[in-house]
Amino acid sequence: MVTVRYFGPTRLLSKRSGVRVEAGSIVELLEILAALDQGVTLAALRNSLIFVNGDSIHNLKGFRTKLADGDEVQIFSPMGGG
Amino acid sequence: MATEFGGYMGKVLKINLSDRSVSEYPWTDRDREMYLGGKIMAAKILFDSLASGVRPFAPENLLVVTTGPLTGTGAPMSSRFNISTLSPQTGLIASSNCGGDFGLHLKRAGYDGLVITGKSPGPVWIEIWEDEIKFNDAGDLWGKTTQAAQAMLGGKNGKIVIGPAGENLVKYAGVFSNERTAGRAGAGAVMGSKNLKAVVAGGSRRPLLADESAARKLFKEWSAMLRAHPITGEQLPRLGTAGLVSIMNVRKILATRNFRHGQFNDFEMVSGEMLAEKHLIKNRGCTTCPVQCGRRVEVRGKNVKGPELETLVLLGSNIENNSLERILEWNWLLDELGMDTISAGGTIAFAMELNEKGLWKNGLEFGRTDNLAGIFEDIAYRRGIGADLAEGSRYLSEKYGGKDFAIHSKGLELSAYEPRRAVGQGLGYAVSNRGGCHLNAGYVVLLEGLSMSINPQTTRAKAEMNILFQNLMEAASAAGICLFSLYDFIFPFLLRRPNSLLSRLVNKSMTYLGPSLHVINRLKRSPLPVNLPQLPHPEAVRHVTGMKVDLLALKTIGERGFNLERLINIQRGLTADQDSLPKRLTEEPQDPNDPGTVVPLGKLKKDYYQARGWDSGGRPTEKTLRGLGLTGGK
Repeated sequence: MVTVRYFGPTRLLSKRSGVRVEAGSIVELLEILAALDQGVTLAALRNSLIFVNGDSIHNLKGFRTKLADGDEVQIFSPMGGG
Repeated sequence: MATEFGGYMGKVLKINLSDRSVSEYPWTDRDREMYLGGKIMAAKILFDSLASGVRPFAPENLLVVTTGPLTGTGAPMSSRFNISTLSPQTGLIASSNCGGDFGLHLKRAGYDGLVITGKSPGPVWIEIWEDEIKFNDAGDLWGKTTQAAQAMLGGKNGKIVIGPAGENLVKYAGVFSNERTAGRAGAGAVMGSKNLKAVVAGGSRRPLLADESAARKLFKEWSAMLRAHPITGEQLPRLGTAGLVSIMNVRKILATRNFRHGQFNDFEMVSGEMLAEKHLIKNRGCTTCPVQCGRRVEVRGKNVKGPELETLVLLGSNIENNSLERILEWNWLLDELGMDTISAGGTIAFAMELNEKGLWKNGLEFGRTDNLAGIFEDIAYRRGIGADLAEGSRYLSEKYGGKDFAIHSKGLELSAYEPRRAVGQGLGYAVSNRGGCHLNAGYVVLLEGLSMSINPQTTRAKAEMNILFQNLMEAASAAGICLFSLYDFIFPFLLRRPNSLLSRLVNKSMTYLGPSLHVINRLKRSPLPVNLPQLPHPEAVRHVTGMKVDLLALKTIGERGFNLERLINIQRGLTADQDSLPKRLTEEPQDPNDPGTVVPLGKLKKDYYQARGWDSGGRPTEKTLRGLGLTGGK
């Protein structure tokens, strides 16, 4: 199982802070999440900042990054203003 | 000094509290073209008027309240005013920008600014109604909290007030207008030192605009653009500035446990998401602002102003407090008492670590929150340990030790961003004219992990990025516009498509653009006007004032302002050594297994001084000053 945590506007749209699902890769995970949450589209998820156990998928293998049991995936929108 | 430019009221009022005299401060159209308004105008007035050796609490110190040409014109995000003075925290220039509506009402009274000097023999408040200026006894207002004082002053005029903290010269006391705060660097304490409790301004005058129809059309388009941008149209309205806590945590830049760490286990409990889900009543914001980033929140049955990001961090993760309710209560309490939540939180965190290390037994502990409301009151009234805490981190480190982990620069406590994973922001903190401020720093952290994902550890191009952002922010502030208007600088596609090839290419390549940015930074004029469609600031200034400015001209005014503040600081004894950060941030890696997780300040500073056209001692060279029209002394 992979734990997914939503942050920022995505969280407000999904109306939940997170979910636990079975997924073998980021691309697979995003499809599952889009089907699960009506407020969140696949396009929106693919345009989020995504981290696996604190590492940006930009520093891993992007959407092809593999997921293992117990991984935590954090999904953000780019932010500004402080 | 009437003006031929639109947007201005053409008059700056000088008020001497010692003899209660009122006169006009000479401010010409040439000054307006050179310094525009706001903080740059204030810097010029301070540069010209402050005698050397004047201390922050001396009657001769000036409190300069200024507006910009766009203030009160109906331009979006234009409800801003600035307060500059000598800071009791740093001994250097303090500039503090504020929303609220005082600037707007000051212009309705017929003034672009106030220059307040002297010291009243007893508590006083000033009433400005067009040509009528009254000095009123403030005996019944003295001791009142900021909201109580404003309620007693009544009416729909603009007000600035101080609370008990300002009256008692707490070094980080702020100035308050409605629920907005000119919080940083202690202008409230300077007001208190002058026995000035409040200034009220109002009238029925309006600034004339050079090209009213073009200006109104632009304002409408600009508002629509701000509403359509991912940051100013979506994130800030939905989550306010508080929305940054979570992404700061994953980027390891969330100040935690007195800046020992960049992540907080309980970050979600003090996040913007939690604020929105559990406490938000409605958005709130300044007049003429389409963004409305302020919050009204509910806590224990009370409807109060919500905290900004900085407050959530400095009173949350940085003291290891995971109670959002406590932060909401303290935020309100600190506003009522009249002090800056950033410096208050930073000072408390430092005192906690002093206690932990046995250097000062004070009863303050990380994670312990039950005693802090009382401590904040003690600070405001300088009771018990509050008397020491009221002096701030630098004073505490000189008295009790711990300079290596006293998290300030030039005496001003750092704001929420832990810079060891955002070294450009670290450089900015060190070279900022007002000390450890994230905004005067240049706010490069925006690119280093908040909005974009450029390499946060490299020193490449960070000096040039800082300079560009600092100059643009100076100019926007001087125009009277909120700095958040500059977020539109970032093309929406970079925010909406952060995983696209193009976005990733931009992020990768930006740190190789130092030489190009340097050319842009040095460019002061071009044969053809240079503008960017997403930054309509020059066009707004053109339509409002009639000045022929483009983006380069505006940027140059910003550069002039930054250098002018630097000159004031040098006059006050600033040396390169004070462009510093505590050793915790420059020598103690955030990740003990990665020695690179420090701020390499020596290299960054050298790059920055060179790129600014300053010598190795951090002084603007003669050539630089000449290029900015700042030679020739006063």
